[in-house]
Formats: sequence, structure tokens, C-alpha cells
Amino acid sequence: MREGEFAALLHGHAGLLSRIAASYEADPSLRDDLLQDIALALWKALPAWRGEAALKTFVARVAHNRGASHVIGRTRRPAAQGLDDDLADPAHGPESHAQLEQKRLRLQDAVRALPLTLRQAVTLALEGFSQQEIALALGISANNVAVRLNRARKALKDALGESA
Amino acid sequence: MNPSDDWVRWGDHWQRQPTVDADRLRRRVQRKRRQMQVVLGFECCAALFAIGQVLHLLLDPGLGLRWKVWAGLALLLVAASVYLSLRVRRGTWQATADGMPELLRLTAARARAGIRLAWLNIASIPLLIAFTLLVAAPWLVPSRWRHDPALEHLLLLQVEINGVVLVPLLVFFVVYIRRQRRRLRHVEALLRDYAE
Repeated sequence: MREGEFAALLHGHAGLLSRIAASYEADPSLRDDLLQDIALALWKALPAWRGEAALKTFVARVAHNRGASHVIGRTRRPAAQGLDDDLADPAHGPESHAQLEQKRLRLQDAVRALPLTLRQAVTLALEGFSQQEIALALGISANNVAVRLNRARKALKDALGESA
Repeated sequence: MNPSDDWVRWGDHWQRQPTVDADRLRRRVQRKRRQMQVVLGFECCAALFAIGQVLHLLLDPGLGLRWKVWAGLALLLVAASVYLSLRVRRGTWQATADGMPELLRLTAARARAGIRLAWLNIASIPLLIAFTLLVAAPWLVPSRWRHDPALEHLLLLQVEINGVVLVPLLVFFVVYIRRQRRRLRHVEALLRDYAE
């Protein structure tokens, strides 16, 4: 694979990769290392991609596999993340920006607290993947994905205090 | 509220997360790839050096049969180490494009193989010590080294060096086995979850 193609792939999927890494690791420096591992795994795995799934699905699958390998065997739950002050959003005023940040961080912590088997399906649903695409990315059936998303939705609503 | 509305609303918050600098990430990956190539080159050189030394011993006409047998066994040990190192490295990257259940099954298989290998190493340490003592027996008789300060110094040095290497190695294998067992329990629980 040429460097240019790889650079284009990283540019095109930087957001997806960052968010998947963040769902596995709260510590920023460890998250950086995980992102590097994911990118390296992509470099190794891409020659095997034959177009049987969309590139986005393939990238998500490789990233989740590295993320899962990162957390398997670790007994301590990652610490919750503090509020970042340097993430200004020019579209919003300082107050609403802080509120949005709080919501985002609460969601991020709630997702990270989910069991791995639910978390993987959730991160892809939050990226806008269809159930079929999630099934393809994780190597499980679409029915299985539907069950997991249903369970995860209830768990997230409880964690975010949105239960009726 | 419609379930899909929840996913869309949460997805909107979720995607506000900061994004990594792709150029910086690419540079880090390039650096890491170079580091891996250097480590691989170093390991190849070390293996070639070890094989060269052992072959030198094997072909030395002045050495007795017992040292040649020892050199033959050492050659097997070096070959096994190189093979295992390559196998572990290949396994690390093998499953990056598999589905999650396949990845978990492979991780479990690797953890089990790792535990077996660690026990084999633990068992081989006393065997290696026993065999080395057997080969070196004529030099270990007290009457031989008590009046030979050079031999006494050499034997003490061997005991010190091997003690420094073998004790931490044993501790490492025990810790490694515990870690692999923990990993295996976690993976088996995840596999049960995926089978539901």
C-alpha cells in the first residue's frame, strides 16, 4: 500500500477511529497509543481487503478488534474523563458549549461503562451504521445486533437519567 | 420516543468528540514501522550470531563429545526461540480483519498456547540446569577447583550470572501464566455473551 493512499484513508476515517479508540480508553496518552496500534493494524490489514464490505465497515472492524485486544485481560475499569476546556465550538456560545460538552462526556462515560459486547454495537450505531453494517463489521448476525442495541438503549437511558 | 430518535440524538453528541490529527498519526505509524523493522533486524542479527557461535562449537575438533551434544541442544533452543518469536509476531496481527467471535476464539487459543509454553519453559529451566551440571561435572568436583583460582572464579561467575537471569525469568513466567489465565477467563465470558 502506498503512503499516499494510507494518508488519505487516515484523513477520511480520523473521526471514526478517534471515537472508537475513545470508547475503549479514557486515558489520553493510552488512547494515543491505542490509536497508533489501530492505524498500524489498518496498514497491515488493508492489503487483505477485497471490497466484500464497504471500506468504512472494514476500518471499523479492524479498529474494534484492536480495541477489544487492548481491553481484554485488563481488570481495572478506565477512569471517567474530565471536561476538556480547549474544545471550543464556534457555532455555540461558551455556556451552551459547556452544556454540550457535559452531555457528550456523560454519553462517552455511559458508553464506556457498557459491557464490551454491547459497547461495540453501540459505537457503530452512534456512527450511523445500519444494523446490517454493524453485523458485518462485528461478524455476528443482524438479529443479534438488534437484541444488543435494544439492551444497550435501555442501559444508556438509565445511565443518562432519561428513563421514563 | 422512537428508538431511532434516541440513536440519532445520541449520535449527534457522540460525533462532537475531538478528532485525532491524521497527519500526526500517520507520522507516528511510520516511526513505529521503522522501529519494528530495526527490532526485527536486531533479532535476526542476534539469532545469526548465536547460531554462528554454536556451529563454531560443534565444528571445533578440539572439543569433546559432551560439549558437542550441549552445543547441539543449544542450537535446537535457539531455533525454537526464533520460531516462537516469529509465531507470536504473526499471531499478533493475524486476526485484525476477522469478526469478533473469531478474534476471541483465536485470543483464547493463543492464551492457552502461551500458558502451555510458559509451563514448558518453567520445566525446561531445571532440566537445562541438570544437563549443564552433568556436562560440567568433571570441573565441579571440589578437588578440581579448590586449587585452581581461575576455575573457581569462572564457576562463581557462572552461578552469579545464571542466578541473575533464571530467577527473574521464573518470576516472569509465573506472572505471565496468571495474566494469561485472567485473559482467558475474560475471553471465555465474552464468547458466552456473543453466543447468546
